[in-house]
Amino acid sequence: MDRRTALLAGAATLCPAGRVASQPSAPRVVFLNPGEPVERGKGPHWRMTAQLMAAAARTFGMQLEVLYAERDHLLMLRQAESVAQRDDAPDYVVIVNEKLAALQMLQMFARTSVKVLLIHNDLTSEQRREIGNEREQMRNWIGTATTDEARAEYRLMEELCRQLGDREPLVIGITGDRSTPVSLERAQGISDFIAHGGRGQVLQLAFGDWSEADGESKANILLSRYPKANIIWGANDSMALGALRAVKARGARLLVGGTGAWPDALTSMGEGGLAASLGSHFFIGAWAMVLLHDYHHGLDFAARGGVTQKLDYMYVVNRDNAPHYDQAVYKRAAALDFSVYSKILHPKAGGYDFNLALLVRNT
Amino acid sequence: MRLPIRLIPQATSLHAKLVLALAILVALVAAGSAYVLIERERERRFLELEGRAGRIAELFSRSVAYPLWNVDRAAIDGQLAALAPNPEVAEFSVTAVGYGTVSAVTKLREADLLDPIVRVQAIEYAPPGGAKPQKIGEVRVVMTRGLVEQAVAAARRVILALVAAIVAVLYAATFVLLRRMVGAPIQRLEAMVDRIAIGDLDARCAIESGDELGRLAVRVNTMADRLRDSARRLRDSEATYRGIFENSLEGIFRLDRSGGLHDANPALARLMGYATSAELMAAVNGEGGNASPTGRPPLFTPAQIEAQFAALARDGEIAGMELQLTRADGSPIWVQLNARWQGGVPPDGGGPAGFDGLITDITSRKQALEDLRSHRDHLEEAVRERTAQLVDAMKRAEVANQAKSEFLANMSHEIRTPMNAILGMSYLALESGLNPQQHDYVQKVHRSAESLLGIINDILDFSKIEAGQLDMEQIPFELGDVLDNLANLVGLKVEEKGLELVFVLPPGLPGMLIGDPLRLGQVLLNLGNNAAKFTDRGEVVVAIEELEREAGSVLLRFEVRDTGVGIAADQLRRLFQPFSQADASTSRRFGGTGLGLAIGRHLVQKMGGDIGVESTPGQGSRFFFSARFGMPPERRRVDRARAAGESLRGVRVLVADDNDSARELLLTMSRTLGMQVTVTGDGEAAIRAVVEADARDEPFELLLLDWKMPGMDGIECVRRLAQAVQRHRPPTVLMLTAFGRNEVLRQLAQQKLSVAATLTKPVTPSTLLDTCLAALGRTRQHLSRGALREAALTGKLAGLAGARVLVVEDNLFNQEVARELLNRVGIDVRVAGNGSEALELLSREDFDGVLMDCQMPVMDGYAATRALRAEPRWRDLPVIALTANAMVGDREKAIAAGMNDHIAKPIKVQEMLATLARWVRPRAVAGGSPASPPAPGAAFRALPGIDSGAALAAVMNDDRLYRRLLGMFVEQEAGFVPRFRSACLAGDWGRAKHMTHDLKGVAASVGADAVSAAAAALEAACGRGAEANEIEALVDAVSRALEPVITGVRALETGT
Repeated sequence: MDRRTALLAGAATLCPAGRVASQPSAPRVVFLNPGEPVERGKGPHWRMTAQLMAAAARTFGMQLEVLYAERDHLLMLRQAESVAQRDDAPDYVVIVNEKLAALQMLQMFARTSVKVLLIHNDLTSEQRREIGNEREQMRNWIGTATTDEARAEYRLMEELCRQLGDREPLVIGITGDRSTPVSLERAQGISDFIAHGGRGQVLQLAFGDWSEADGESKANILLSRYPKANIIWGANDSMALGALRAVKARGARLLVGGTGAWPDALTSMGEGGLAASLGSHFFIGAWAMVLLHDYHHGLDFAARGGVTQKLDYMYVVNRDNAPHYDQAVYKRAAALDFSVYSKILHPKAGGYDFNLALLVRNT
Repeated sequence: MRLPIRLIPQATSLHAKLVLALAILVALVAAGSAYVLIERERERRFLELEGRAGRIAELFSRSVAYPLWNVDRAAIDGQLAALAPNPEVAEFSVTAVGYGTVSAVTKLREADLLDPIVRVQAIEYAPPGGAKPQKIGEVRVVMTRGLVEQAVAAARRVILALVAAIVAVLYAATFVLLRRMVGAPIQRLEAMVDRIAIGDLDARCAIESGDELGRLAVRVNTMADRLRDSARRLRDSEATYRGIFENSLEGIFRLDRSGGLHDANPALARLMGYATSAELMAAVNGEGGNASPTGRPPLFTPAQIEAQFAALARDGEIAGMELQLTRADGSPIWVQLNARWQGGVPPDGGGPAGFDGLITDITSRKQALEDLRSHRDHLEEAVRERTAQLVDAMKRAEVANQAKSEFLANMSHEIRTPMNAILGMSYLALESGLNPQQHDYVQKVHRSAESLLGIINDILDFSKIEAGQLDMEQIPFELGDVLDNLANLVGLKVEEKGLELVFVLPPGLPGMLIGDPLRLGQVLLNLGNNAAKFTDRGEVVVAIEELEREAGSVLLRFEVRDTGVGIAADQLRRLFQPFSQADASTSRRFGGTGLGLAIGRHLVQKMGGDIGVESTPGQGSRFFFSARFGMPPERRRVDRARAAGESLRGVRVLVADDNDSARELLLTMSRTLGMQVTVTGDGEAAIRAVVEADARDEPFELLLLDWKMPGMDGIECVRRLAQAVQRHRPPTVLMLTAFGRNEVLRQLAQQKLSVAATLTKPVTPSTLLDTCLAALGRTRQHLSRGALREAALTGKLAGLAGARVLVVEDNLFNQEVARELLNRVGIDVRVAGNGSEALELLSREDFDGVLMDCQMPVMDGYAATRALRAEPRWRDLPVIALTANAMVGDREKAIAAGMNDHIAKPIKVQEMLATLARWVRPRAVAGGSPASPPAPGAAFRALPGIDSGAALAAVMNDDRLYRRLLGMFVEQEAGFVPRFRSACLAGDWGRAKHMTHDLKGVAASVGADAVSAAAAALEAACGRGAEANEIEALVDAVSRALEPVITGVRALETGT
């Protein structure tokens, strides 16, 4: 299934999907995907994103075209250029601020009628200063959808502390490198929770390089520096699994939490390793499709939470719900039905609620 | 260094010994110092290495802190790797707390190192957010000493090789040099000395060099020469001594214990009256006729011989033994014997024991001594006589000195008495309505007399200084009074010359002092007068500052500086010598005795200070002196200014003065009074400042405005200010003037302007305070001292009118002066010529007081007063002494005689009246005084063309004087018109103008205002060379005005 979708998208052909494929008014969406269509050792994130977008497109009868830039932002710019110059330009383009290229892409689409939605990485404040905010100078930049990282980690910490019981949480945090903004956002969620709870403390927050080896090596020394620690947290699953190895090597009893809820993390949970993780960032593409669908049909998300949507959808996966999550997200991704999140199809007041529990439970 | 030389065989040559010793020494020293040097270098390098290890550990512990905190192994490894190339680093590791080694570099194992340098440094990190630093690990640095040891070993090898080479070279060089320079010459010397030793006294050595050996050769040659010479001299000497023995004038002999004479020279033979020494010896030794004709032994008696040997045995010699011998002819002679044992040593046992003797004839000396003894007795008597004479002479000298002092006092009196008459008479004459020319003459007489008096005072002072009789008073006084007086006296001169007189008085000067105010004033006045005298342009500044203050005493520094001609450097030194002015020509030009500065210096020294001067010719002089004064314990008035200043505190004042010193001074003084001061340098700026301040709503309340300023003067400034539109009340104006105050008032009146008050420069703090207070209408805490005195005087003078006073004075002129002066204030005066006349007059009439001259014929003032006081009824009669001596002590003498007070001659009118007013009260029964007419000036009211009121006031309502003035006026000016016309005809316009000027002045002085005005118009016309007919018209006008006045006065004269 993965492979088929990837190939389809990689060929840059139209992807007519599902029941409303031939509907003439079906909105056409192009996703400029910075990743690669096949596994090349950089992780399945972007493939999963495209896969879930395709599922959503199928759900809503939208046309989705995915162009892969193979992590080459120059290629991505060329692709954006060619899309902008097409005679039959798409209705919407979904872009990512990979290597800060979004600004140039937005400018390319400035003179076209294509409406642009930015996902995953927001523009930097410098970039925003230059080009303005959504629907200002750039009228056809209709919105931005990103993940509320801090909120998600907050909830992860909540889960870890729940598992800890009455003991005072003493946390060692290993977040990503300093230059990546999400490193700090995620760590913020952790320290927010400890600050809110008024109990325990974050003993130290170390900056890592996202790798499992670094996670292990840091955990080794930090564990001997803080013998009383009872929770160790990694900003992604790799570092969390590395830390877990160090914990096991010492024979210590600590709760280890990660982020991403990738299959190996789910496996570890199954074996009584990781205590919890968060899943999953690749849903952001699907949420973009939901927003575009509703927008196309007259419900502007600007009225439901604003043009900049910071979405709190990450799902706390623990040893109990890990099999369900695995089943829903990885085993049957193509069959996911996103219609429940559309406000056109299921009118509901207030902002968008992308609670993954709805999907996981339904399986 | 004996040891190494001993080790060498004795016979080894000197040169070999030296070379060997030198080589050993050099080798030892070089090796020793090389060792020390290397060891120190080694120590130093180790210390440096240890320091480096410490620094590396310290530095690294800091740089690795964050990576270790964040557990960045790559970063830690990177930093470690960066240090690894360091050659001394053997081992290097980072450990984490509780974990162990995190990263390490090991180049040499520590176990393999000998005495490694190990440094361990804790790694501490303070997490962000202000937490305390915590220890998170350790850095361990191990360094090897191997590299340093290697370097040191290499250095050691090089140095040792160098030392060996140097020693070898030194040895070789020394060997060769010593052989050539020392060995060969010494051998030559040896050969020569050998020749001399065997008797060849003519052997000499060749001189080849100038070094020590060369010089040695020269000395050996010299020695050979001397040897030859001394051999020759030995032969000569023998002959010489024999000659001395034979030719000596003193007797020389040798005597043995038994009295046998062994040798005798011809002199001894002659002394004893024999022809030859052989005869003498024969006589003594009994070979001739044996006994002498007198039967006495021919030389010494046995007793004398016994005594001689006893003395020799006792003292080892005979020194100056006096003996009486008998000559061959029987006459006695006195001789002195000096002798020593034969051969110089006492005999030891047997042997021919005798002595060598020397005999001198002292018969004549003996005689002289006798004479001297008899002289001595006379001398004591002579001294007694001379002492008596000296005592007498001293008494005479003391008497003479006393006489000189008395002469001085008498001279002073004798000169002052006529001076008093001159001054008094001329004073009276000046007020008696003289015509201008006469007035001028008499004025000059008066001034000359005053300056003569000054010279006399100087000479007197100087004489007193010379005689050591100058005594200083110690009385409390106010510094302000001295300064006020100085301002009055010097200010007058300064004003005449158009100079600026500035007083610089810092706040906080003590008000009351104890000392001699008159002498202080004298010094200041002398300096001030000099400054004024020698300055034609600019300013005279009097500055006082406090140098030090102790309990009860204060040292003040006074300075008088001017901008005058200055004094050349070579004259500065002589300046304080008596009788030397700056130079003779200056002395001629400005007058003066040249004693002033010399006296000043003495006075200042008496006041415990010193005087000095600095000067730059052409730029001015600066005289300064210090003086110490006592301070009264009570400080009653010191803070008068501060207390009074409270009411001026915060008052906004603007000072406008072009003179920098004066402006600065006004600023300081105003600040001291607590005012807010702004200063400007000219009138324009002042107006601007006033208008601006007004606009700011901070208007000035006071304006201190200098009259004479370049550009816009004070009066113009007042005029412009009066026109300026202001929102607030315009400032109260105080006009400062150094010149005629009346002129200012006149000009102001002419322009219909007014100011609150005028202030005459120099301004002192007290006058400024009083004037400001008065001008602002605020409470006046104290009247100024001057005003107080004046008010008191006026009041008391009024009280004196009608008193009866007896003047006792022998000098007729002075009698008249006193009478005239006292009559003027309404005192009834009787005169007595001496003390006894006075007593007689007193017994007949009643008096309210007596003015008593002290030195009079028949009965002097002291005796008269003592007699008077003896009578009970005159016990309280005020008696005031008049003395001309003006010596300190006169006053005491007068008081001791029973007088109430003392006035010094020449009399100063104000002073005399003030003193009288203090003591004398007219008796109520005295009634109306004949000297004061009931209605002064009534007779003059009817005079046409004359305003007699003002003119009379000008002569103190002295009717008689005024009448005389009128008479003189008519006499002089009746012929004015014809005189004027004749001058015009002669074309002498200068004389004509002068005439008119005189008429204007004289007419004004008698109150003939119309005449004066007409004359002024005529004078102006003459001055500008007007047309003849215009002048004619003006002459007519004068004539018309003059005619009725002359007629009126003549009528008055004939009428009386």
